[in-house]
Amino acid sequence: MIQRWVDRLHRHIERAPPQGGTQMPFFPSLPQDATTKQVFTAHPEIYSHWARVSEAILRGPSPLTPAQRELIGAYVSSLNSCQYCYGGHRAAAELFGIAPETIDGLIHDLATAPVDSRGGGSKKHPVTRQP
Amino acid sequence: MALLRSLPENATLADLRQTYADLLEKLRPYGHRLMRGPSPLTPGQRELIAAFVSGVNSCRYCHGAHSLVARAFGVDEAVLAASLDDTAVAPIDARLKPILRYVRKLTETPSRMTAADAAAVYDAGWNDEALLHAIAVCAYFNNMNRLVEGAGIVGSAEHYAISARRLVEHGYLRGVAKHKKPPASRKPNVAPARRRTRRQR
Repeated sequence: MIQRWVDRLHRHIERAPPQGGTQMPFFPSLPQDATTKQVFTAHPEIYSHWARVSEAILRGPSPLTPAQRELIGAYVSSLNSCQYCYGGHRAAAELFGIAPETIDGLIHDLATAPVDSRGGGSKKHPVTRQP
Repeated sequence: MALLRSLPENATLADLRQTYADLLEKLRPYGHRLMRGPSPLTPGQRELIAAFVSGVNSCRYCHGAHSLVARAFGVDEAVLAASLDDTAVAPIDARLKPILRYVRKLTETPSRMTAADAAAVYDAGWNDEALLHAIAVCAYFNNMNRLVEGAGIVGSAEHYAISARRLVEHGYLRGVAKHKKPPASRKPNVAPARRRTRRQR
């Protein structure tokens, strides 16, 4: 199961590599161009359980569509300036049908972005920056 | 006060877990494996990181509960408070200081980690498995802190003590509802999670 999840995640990421250059991982035991795929598969004792958490949160039954959840993933990652997660989840959101200009608009200015205001990010902002 | 309208006004984390069980029960085997399973870090060191990260995030509920759990595993509350205040001068095991600095920075400015931050951890004698486990504990508590604060859960000293006692006695797998079973009837906490892992791989 973890392999299926990791493979799917990485198919998304490979289509849209993170912008701004890749950084060397800090783990001497991993190759210099390591991705989360290597980290997850090198430590199945931790991440096999996490795959189930992620699957439930991002793909399980929810009032939010997978597209909306991936959009939140990309947006929170951009607030955290995490290029890797932003690149991967932005690509996933686009594959689920979110328009690139919607994501660009969110990153640029939440208040005027062409996004359904019910999904309005007013709650996401504080919970990441001032939990 | 709870921000989710489906929760009672003075909701606890147990209320949140019960109301949204489908989503949140999946966290239990992960949390248990992470906090009590095999690791280069002792359960006490992991609970210290949990309480420390929750303190950095000013999450009263998680900080309150996990400070008590860490104390049960031998971590002095005054030492934890001093570490949060100024890690450099805190009277804490010098080997833990670069790990606490790492998880503080990872919590506050996650995209600014450098090879020098990691090197400080390795120089203290830890391997990269230890660093990954510290990172995973840090990430898990950033997640829990946001679940708790996002849902508006505040709790009280009494709630923190109840949660802490359960976490010390039973780990992360069991909810409050199953808490009353006599200990003799219980299987070891970690076994069901391991069996599932093998079958699904």
